[in-house]
Amino acid sequence: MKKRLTKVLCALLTLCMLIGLTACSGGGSGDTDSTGTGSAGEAENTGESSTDGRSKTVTIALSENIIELDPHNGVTVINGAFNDMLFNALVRADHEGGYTPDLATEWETSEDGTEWTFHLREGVQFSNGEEFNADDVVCTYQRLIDDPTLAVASNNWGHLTGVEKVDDYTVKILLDQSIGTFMLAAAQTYIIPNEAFEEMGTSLFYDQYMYGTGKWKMVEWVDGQYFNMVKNEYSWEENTSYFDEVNFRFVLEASTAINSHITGDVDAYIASGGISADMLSMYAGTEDQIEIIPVETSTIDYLQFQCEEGSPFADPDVRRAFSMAIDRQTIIDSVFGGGEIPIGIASEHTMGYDPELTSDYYTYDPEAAKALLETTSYNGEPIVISSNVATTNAEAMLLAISENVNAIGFNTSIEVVEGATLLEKRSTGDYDCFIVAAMSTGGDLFSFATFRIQNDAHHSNYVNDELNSLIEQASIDTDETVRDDLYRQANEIIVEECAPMIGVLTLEANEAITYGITGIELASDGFFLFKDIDYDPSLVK
Amino acid sequence: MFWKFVLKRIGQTIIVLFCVSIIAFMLIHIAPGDPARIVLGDSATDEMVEAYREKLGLDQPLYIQYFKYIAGIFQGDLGTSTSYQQPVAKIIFSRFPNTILLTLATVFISLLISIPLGIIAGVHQGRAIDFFAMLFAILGQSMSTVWLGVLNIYIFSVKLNLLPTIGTGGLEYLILPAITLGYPISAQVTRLGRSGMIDVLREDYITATLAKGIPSSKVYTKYAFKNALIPIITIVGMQLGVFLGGAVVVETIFSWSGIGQLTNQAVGNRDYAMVQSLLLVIAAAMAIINLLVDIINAKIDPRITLQ
Repeated sequence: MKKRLTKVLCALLTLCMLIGLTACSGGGSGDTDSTGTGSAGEAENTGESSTDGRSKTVTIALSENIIELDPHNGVTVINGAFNDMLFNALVRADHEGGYTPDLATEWETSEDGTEWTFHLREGVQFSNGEEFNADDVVCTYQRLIDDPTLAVASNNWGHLTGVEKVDDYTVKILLDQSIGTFMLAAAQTYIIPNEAFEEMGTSLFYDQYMYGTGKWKMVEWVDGQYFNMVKNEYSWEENTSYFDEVNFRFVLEASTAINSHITGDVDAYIASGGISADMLSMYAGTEDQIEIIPVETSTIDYLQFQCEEGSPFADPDVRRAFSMAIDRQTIIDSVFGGGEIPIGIASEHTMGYDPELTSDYYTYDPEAAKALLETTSYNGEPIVISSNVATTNAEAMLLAISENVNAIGFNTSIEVVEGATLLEKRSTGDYDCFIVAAMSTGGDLFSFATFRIQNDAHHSNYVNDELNSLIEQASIDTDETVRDDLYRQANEIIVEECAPMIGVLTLEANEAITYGITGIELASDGFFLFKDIDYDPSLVK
Repeated sequence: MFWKFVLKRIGQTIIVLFCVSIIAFMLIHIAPGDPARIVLGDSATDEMVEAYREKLGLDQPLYIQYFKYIAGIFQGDLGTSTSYQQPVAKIIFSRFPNTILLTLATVFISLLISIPLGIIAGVHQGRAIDFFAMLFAILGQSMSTVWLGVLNIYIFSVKLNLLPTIGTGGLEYLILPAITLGYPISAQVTRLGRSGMIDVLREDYITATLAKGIPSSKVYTKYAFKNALIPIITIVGMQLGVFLGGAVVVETIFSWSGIGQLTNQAVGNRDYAMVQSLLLVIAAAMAIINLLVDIINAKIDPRITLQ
């Protein structure tokens, strides 16, 4: 009896090990049997299937969780994606500086840019059946005036003073000063239903009603797991999508998300900032099923200096030598696997970009950098280059930069801290220099230039009146051509002075989508939009 | 004597929870990072940050903040999360069932494998099954959970296409996370079970029982195993408490939305109310489990109540 039991157990253990070994030593990951919609995928995709077998449900893995449902307080990229599906704003951004009508069909502004009149679309309903009219716009904008701590208010509407209903389909938005980014702000201000908000308050969002006028409506959000939507039958925009249901899964671990994609549990993996280059090899062998889409973004990794009196970086030549010593191209190639060298803070997809602009300070030249550094008073004082864990490849990038600059005579070390700690350091100016990534939402340099340079939100203590004046003008003027020119001039000063920051690289983001899935818009400002998601069987290989 | 022991342990548990509440409160407040700055972001002016700190009550002295927090707990109010803008209790209790489910599945799977394996290995010391059991235990204790989790997904989801990679729902979603989390504890229990059995089987009373002609299976399970059980219960109890505190790595790998991920996220966001409450809930779970373990051990071996 005992012997038999022993034998059975031995056999079971051996079998388990053999299964493991067999699976590990199996064919390449391109094995077609292991891809496509397997049983696990079928378990997820419960939607009705069409004749060609494709489920009517599409599932997308996202690299971040959503934790804030209030459309006026959640401003992450994920919030932007969901809000775009559930709600509409007065105007819609194309994420490269262009705007088209959304819930407003026409608009005009006063001479001084402080009074904007919007003519609203008629025949629009929210997903609860409530009819859209001027009261909803007034409710939305009044909420931002009443609570300036809401993220959309604090980021965009510092000069908003009033909103008036002219008639049922006309509203006026009043400002105490012209805002250069008015259209961008309006595009980020999603309209909520007045009656439902009056009745429910913020329960409208937190109890997951989320009534909007968008193409899709919310079914359920489970924190840390998923966010599901179905077609909004009240949508004023025709929703001809093949899919009846769009499910988002929050998958924080990249390898899990990629494995889920390969097994068919999800149909796309969209990572904020893109899928890390070193993870892309996991997709090897799935080229006939999954497309890796590289997106040139305007997201920039920049290095900001502490320029206060007495700091090594108070001397412009020290900053310039530092910049010239960085081998940006090698970092792009070996650490990121793609990207561009920016000149200053502007890129091809942002305002202020000048394709003619070149600078010796952005050209890797260790000899010249060393010679320049020797002319300064820098005498080997220790410098810490800081970054946070949220910055892609932070440690590798910082190590490379540190090695580059130490080779010409700097004495640097690195620290990669958590986000809150770096935020604290930046808010007090307690740093030598730091590197983080920054997005230029809508291709506009407003938030970058106004908050980081003019307002010196990160306490670099760099003051340049000419630069600040240009940024100030750009933040007020509503003429896009004028603003573009102002930012171009500002960028030239930033490049020449290497202050208060230098651009290190612009990121290239890779996203993975199964062939046949269409309508996912990967914008250059780092946003991704799913509003028009659809299916085209002719694209399936 | 038994009830006196239980009451004494309950008293100790209350003191521990009180101390934990103070330590949790102090630690998160000492950590660098301002929740108001995090919520409002870079664009907020110093005045806005200060106003928000006032709104959150962060401008008040620490002891007042602490007493307000404790008073809230006694009224069933754990505060409002600055990241979710929702009651902390609502968020925690939406995630806790997942953590409990994963914990129970983990303990069930690990005990199901390790207890029989430990007993058999102990009984058959030096034989092939003992060798396999020890190999199983050494592998389990040496393997990184991250590696094991990724390997499990690769084998059972990608290559064999047997189990889903992510999510929660049916039993199939539980298997891989539970195995990943349970293997190390399973290895530990196997070793403990084996060594416990070896020690007990050398006792004179076992030899005497076997000499009386009582079937060996009954001797091993009824007499020997019972005495080898105490260290196993202790270690499983401790692990149960740890698992109830969340398993950040496994939850992240399998996209399992539990307390571990929530804690990680709350610390990153300096969500004071959430962190304090989570630490208290985790400590309470740990303390209650330890209390139960002590009570069970006292029942199994009444000599414990005399010590």
